[in-house]
Amino acid sequence: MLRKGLLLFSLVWSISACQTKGDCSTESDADSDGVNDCDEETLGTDPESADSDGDGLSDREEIDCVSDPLNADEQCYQCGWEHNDPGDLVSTGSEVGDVIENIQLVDQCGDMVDIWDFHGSYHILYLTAAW
Amino acid sequence: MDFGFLFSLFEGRSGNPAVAEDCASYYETIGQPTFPVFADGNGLIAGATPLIQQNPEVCALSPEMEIISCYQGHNVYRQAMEDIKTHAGL
Repeated sequence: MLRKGLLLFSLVWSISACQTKGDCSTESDADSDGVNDCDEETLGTDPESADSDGDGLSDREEIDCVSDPLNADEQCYQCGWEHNDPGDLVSTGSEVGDVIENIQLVDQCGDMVDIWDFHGSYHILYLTAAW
Repeated sequence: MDFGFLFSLFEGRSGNPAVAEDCASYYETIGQPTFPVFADGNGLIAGATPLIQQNPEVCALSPEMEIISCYQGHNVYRQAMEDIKTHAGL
C-alpha cells in the first residue's frame, strides 16, 4: 500500500516535472507498454523496452499489480495480492512483540507468497487443519 | 483501518501435511474468500510465531508485521480483533 502510494506520487511528480523541464513527453510511449516516457524516466524503467526487467510481464502490468518492474524476481501474484514489502523490515523473533519472519507460503493460486507483502494492514493469521 | 485475514492450513483433510492442492480445494470449500488461503505443511508459521499447530490458532499482526498477540481455541479471532482495535487506538 505504501509502495503503491509512492508509485502514484512518482507518476504525479513525473508529469509535473516533465511539464517544466520539457526533456520528455507524457504524450510519447516509445515502447508502447502503456507507461509514457516521462513516467519511465522517473521510475527508472527502460522507455525502449516494454518489459524492463525481462520477466515476461510488461512494465504496465507490473505497475498495475504493484510489482517492481525492475526486479525480475518479483512478479504479479495470480491471486492479485500486492507486493507491499517495504524492503527494510527486519525480523526480530517469533514471540509476541517481535516482527515476524518473512516466511513464504503457497496460496490457493499456486504462487509462493512472501508474508511481508501484506505489510501495511492489520491481519489475523489463522492457522488450522482442513475439515 | 485496513484489515484482512491470512488463512493457513497445516493439515489437509486426510491429516497429511498441507500442500498446494489442499489450500486450493479448501478455498473452494469455504466459498472463495477474498483473502489468501495458504498451505503450511512444513510448519513455517509454527516456527515463526508462538503457534504450535493446535487447531485452531490465531495471531494478530500489526501493519509493521509485529506479532501483537496469539491465541488458541475456537472463536479466539474475536479476542485478536479486539487486540487489533486496541493497537490501532480504536
